[in-house]
Amino acid sequence: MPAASPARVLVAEDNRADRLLLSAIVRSEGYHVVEAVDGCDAVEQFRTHRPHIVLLDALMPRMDGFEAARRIKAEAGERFVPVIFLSALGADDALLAAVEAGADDFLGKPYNQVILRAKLSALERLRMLHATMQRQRDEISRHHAHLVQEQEAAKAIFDKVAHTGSLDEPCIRYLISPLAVFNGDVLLAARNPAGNLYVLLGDFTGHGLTAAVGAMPLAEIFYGMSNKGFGPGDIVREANRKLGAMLPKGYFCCAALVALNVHKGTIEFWNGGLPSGCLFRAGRRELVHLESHHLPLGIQGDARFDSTTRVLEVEPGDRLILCTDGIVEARNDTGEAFGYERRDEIIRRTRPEESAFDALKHAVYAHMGASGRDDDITLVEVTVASPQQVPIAAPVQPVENGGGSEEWRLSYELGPRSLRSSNPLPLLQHVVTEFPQLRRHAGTIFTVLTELYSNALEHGLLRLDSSLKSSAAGFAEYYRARSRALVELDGFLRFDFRCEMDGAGGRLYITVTDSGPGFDYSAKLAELDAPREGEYHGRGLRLLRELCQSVSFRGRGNEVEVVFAWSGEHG
Amino acid sequence: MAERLDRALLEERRMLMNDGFAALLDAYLDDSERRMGEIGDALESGDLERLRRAAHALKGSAANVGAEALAVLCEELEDAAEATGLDALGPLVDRVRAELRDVRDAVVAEQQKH
Repeated sequence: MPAASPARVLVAEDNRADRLLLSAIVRSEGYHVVEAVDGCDAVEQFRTHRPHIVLLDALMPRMDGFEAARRIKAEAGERFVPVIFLSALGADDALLAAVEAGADDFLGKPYNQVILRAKLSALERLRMLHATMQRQRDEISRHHAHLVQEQEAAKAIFDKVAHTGSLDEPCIRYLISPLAVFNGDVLLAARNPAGNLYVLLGDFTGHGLTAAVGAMPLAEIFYGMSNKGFGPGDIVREANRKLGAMLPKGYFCCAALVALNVHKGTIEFWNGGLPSGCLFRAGRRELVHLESHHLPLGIQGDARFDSTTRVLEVEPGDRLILCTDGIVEARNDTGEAFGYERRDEIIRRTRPEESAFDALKHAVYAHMGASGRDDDITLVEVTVASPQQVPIAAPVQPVENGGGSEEWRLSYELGPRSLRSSNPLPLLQHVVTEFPQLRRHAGTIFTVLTELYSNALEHGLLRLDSSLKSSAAGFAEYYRARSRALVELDGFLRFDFRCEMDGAGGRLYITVTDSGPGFDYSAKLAELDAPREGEYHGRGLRLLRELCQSVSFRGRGNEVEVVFAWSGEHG
Repeated sequence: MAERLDRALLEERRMLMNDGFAALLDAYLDDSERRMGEIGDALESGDLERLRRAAHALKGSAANVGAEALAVLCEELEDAAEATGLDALGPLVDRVRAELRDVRDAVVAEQQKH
């Protein structure tokens, strides 16, 4: 039944008597009637009055009911306008023609009020249903458009936060969909103040905005902390804490973070839940897996979270490959996954001068075929550069000379608990770069501090034997021993800074003292002057001597002083 | 003379149309005269399609006023216009014309009753 405002019904019939009768019947059912005397008139009346239901005689002068029905349906567009054909069409082909023209029902003569009432109300219900469906469809598509708009905005924000960082450097090849953040994939790369390359690959659970929201704090933490000189362990711990506090239950982020130091020939990695990464030692044709030993980020509380990283030695030309599960789970037509074995085999077959990246990418796409390709494939390859290719310190923006007093002293001592749980370098770096003149050399100073700190901690306090690092197996053992010794550590470590201005230039004296028993430095220095080929230990000291004006040991060998000097000229 | 019009149907129409009932019967008289004229013209000019359409229209309006016998004859004519030659149609048209005349008389009588 028509609601508050009656539905309009068009009655098109050329016999005046039949038209009068039909109009009277329709009107008596509560509808508003619009009349037309032939097909042309029907189309015109339809345009003018937009009736909701149309009753059409089949045979009419000027334009018959079939043509009129076609035009009216076309005119109605998406709107559902039921058309009832009048006069019982006897022949099957006439019936078919009416249906093809858009007839939704038929009404024979003599007109019967009861039958017409039933047909009208059935079609009216159908029309309402259609209108509701259309409204809902439009609403869904509006919601969808809104969602897309939101995603675009979110992506624009994310792109600003995440930018490409160091991803565009020539040693990095990567594949990631521009909308990957909505698949939950995040790829970030940055250099720390000492010029070490940090690469983080993350895979958030979920899709859409839920997957994307976590990417922003992750990117901020990654860039902010690597820029301030925090190590990989500090970064994943902070990311775990932040994501744990932020993400809803059941949401987390599988992630791997790798820090590459080409000067020391090491990578330090942490993998929580991501498919094992690959270190391919191109020269030795050896593939080492960077396995996940941890739970993903955002699951465990800070107290239980394990930020222990692993260290592996690398050589120039080695390849580091990280991927999300999109690659290993990529399926072909028969549903077979690409898998780890195929991946590893392709990497192993790569010749030293080739890129495993290209081979992997092509193999995965070939495996999936044209049909299965989706945007879920994220892959990154880092080629270990030779030390000569990488500046020791990341370039620092020159700053205007701040003037003021730059003659100062600072002493900073760490007890055993601090040494076990925190890394003093970001704080010291922060203090040092507060002085405009030193800020220009922030990268170099950071490298010097890093070396002094690790020497004093690992050799002075923890008594680790650096000759262990001469073999690859010993290399791993060295870092295991370091973790063990750190737990039982007792003692202190002190940094003393003294800054002197000399015109536009100046000197920064850094003394690092540890509470350990010291060592026979005269022998060590002699060894340094005649280095043996392929020696791992002593690299740190040699680096210090390159960067500083002088390096000298004091006391029983538990005290080392370096002098970092700079002149007034920029550079 | 057999009953030309369906009384019950006509009564229903009257109830529905109220004051418009007389106008409805007037319209029927006009329409049917025009259609019959069309049928005669079409027969003369040999336009079978026009004849068929006019017979179809006459059938519909006859049914609507309850002239069942006329409607049946019109349907015969409509079918014949499709199936048989022009020559066979003459007698059928005459029968339709005669039946229509009786129906019209009955309709006029109906009008005068009220």
